[in-house]
Amino acid sequence: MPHPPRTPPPRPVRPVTGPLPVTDASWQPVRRELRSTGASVVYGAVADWLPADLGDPRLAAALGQDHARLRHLTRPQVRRRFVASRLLLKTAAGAVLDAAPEELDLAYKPGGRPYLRGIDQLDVSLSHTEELLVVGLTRHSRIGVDVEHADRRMLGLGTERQMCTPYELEALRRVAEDRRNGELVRLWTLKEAYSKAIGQGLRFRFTEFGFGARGGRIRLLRPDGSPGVGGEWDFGSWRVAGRFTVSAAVHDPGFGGRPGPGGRSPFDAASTGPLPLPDRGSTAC
Amino acid sequence: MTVATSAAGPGPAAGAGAAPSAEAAVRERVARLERGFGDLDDPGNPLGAAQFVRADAGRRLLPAAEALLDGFRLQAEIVPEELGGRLGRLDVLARVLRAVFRRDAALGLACGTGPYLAAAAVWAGGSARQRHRTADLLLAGGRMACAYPQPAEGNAFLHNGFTASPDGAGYLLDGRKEALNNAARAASLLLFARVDEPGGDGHRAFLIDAPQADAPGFRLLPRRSTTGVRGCLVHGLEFTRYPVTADRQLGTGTGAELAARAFPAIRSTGPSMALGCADTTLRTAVAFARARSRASVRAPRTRRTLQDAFSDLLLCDALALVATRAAHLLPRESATLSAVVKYLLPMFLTETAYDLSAVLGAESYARQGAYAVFQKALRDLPMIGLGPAGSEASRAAVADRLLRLPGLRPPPEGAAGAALFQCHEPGLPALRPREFVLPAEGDSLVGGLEETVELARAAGGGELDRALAGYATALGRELERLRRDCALLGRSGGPARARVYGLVDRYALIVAGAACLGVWRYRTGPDDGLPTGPAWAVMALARVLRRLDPAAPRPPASAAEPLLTALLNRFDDARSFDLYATPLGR
Repeated sequence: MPHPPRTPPPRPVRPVTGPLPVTDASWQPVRRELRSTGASVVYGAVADWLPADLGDPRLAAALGQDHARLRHLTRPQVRRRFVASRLLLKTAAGAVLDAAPEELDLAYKPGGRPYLRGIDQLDVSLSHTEELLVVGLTRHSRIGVDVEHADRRMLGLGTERQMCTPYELEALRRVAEDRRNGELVRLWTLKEAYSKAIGQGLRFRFTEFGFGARGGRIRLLRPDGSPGVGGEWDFGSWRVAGRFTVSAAVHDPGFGGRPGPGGRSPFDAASTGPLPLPDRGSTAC
Repeated sequence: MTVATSAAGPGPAAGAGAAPSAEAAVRERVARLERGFGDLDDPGNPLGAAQFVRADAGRRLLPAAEALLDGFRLQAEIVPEELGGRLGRLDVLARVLRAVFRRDAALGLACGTGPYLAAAAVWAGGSARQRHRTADLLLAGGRMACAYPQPAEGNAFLHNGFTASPDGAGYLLDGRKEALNNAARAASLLLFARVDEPGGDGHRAFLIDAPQADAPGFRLLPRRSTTGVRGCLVHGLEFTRYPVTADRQLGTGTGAELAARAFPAIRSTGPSMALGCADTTLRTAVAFARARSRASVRAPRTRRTLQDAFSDLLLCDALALVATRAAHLLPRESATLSAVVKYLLPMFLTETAYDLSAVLGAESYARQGAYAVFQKALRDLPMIGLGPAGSEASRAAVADRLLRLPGLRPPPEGAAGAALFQCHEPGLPALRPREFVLPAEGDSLVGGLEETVELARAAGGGELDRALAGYATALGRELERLRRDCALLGRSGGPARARVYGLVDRYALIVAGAACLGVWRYRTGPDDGLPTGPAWAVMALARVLRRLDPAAPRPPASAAEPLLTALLNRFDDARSFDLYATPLGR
């Protein structure tokens, strides 16, 4: 299961006024977690990742192709969030890969899913509220993350009928009334996280799949509560800073990476080194 | 326009007069296999989807399906004609194996792809005796398993650490590999082992008879369970001072050279076979959309998803076609083209399957019933490419090319001609694996893009022609941008690897687009199975361009609608969703 999001990553030097903390030792827990569990979720405040001047020409190099998109954004709040989230994502990915953030090309699949172009060994996901940024990283195949205000009003607005399966509605009825809205928010973030992991956004109708606990794990269930996907998917939900609900969905097709006793592990959990990019001399069919 | 062959090789495998009969023979073989399997959707068919789903849940291959393939002598497809088999062309090999992957990827991997990974190295570098022995073994139905050298950061499937220490006239084999398909039932093993000898720091390849279960120094490790292709028998192997005689070495050169001679044949065909698996996901989604009113094919979102998925399959097939034919026609360039296939196809096909899961909704998780084969294919597809580590070496191979050939111009012989793009054209030279390792002198495919773009721009005045011209022009602009960025790399001291890998992705997408344009340009007529007109090429290019530039425009309805019509017609006629429109077993 993905671990709860880490406490905020190292507070950066303001991104475009100085070098980004690519090799900062404080990223080592994130590296370690990626090597041991395969996934890490980090979060940060928009204000911490915002450059002093959104018009700074150096931002073009830092954002790459996204800089052109920035020009089409007009609302100041949206612009700030857009820039801060991309800088956090690229800094985190760069720290994990031992690459300068501006060397990474953040691109988008036809359905809008972000990915690091050409960097198969690290999948990424991004979410934000007004003030909180969340970035998911995995060396397994796919990750999706989502964040919402834990007290965002959802209950009683008809939302539950548009987003819950019959099984979830029944389960919700059994939740104490004062916790019911929070539970609905949690289900929403889980659904968002999974949809983002499979690149579907809101295209996969939320009433077609649900979540519930099975054997101490969060499992994806069919609308009637029967098992949906298998153990190759891991899901987690947490409360962050007391007022945000964060969920993550991680897909691990099970190639392994941690051979059994006696084998040399290529992902030694004790190692805090970066995930290597492929060497020119590497061979595999 | 001539086809650029980098060295004088043997002439075409079949003369012009033999052309129709060669194509007819291929069609007959595919038809026989399809007939043998019968209707995938018939619940009463002992070789239908329900049986494969049940076998998968039981983590086994379907015995009746294995019997069918034995009767068909499937392994003859991976044995060269001159050694008594039926392997003459790689595009045909992939085309035949798709019939198996349409039913069950595990079956295809266990009975076709797996043994082929091992055999390809024997054909590429084995002695005459090794080639004959391997051919005889495969033709008699014996299985093979293999362990290629590990990448820097592998996974359990790629991770292996065999070493071979000189011992008298032979070697002692040590080490283990965690996950080999077919390991428990292979009669012959191809193992790459690091050789520990003075002056030698590389790998050697060994072709050995699989040891008996109780052989001293050998241990078959317990079976590993996998989340996809669950019917495959995946085991680890462990050797401890296991003696191997010197004559078991495969070829005389280094293991790296031998692997490099085998890779183009492997990387281009394996993912192409897996198109059969993706075919089944699309077929299941169409069946669902047809059957349900709530997600009927009238819903715009469903229509768009189906159109995009069919476009992706055609795009993948155009790329796979070019790479498999390039192994024969452009051996020096096939290391790169096959690596592009190995990088892009597993990614495209898996993403397409996830897109289609949104059409099926809750039924995409069904464990039984008419749509259960979908969730199985969705679990199988990510296994085919072996994940990020599986594509790692391929990305590295393309990166190497971009650093050495930043101009991406055609070789002196000129750009690629019609033979590279025509899927029914039989006149291909025999494979020359020795040339796979020679440096390329140019880029026959991407280097010819400008000319094809000009042709597309001159095509005509209809809306579709204009759309094609627009996308082709945009692809040409992407190539120019890539050339500029590659040139900039050269100027900095050591190019940043992350940046190079971003360029690898863009290069691969441009190659895929150029392959589509080539297939469109050299189309042979209404009988070639393709949807008529440029609609499919417009749709496929739109998909490529959108990956290169999120601001690329969506294709016009005049391209999307005919493609959907073609898709539904093929569904009704039970024909495959690739370039061949193969009639499927019913």
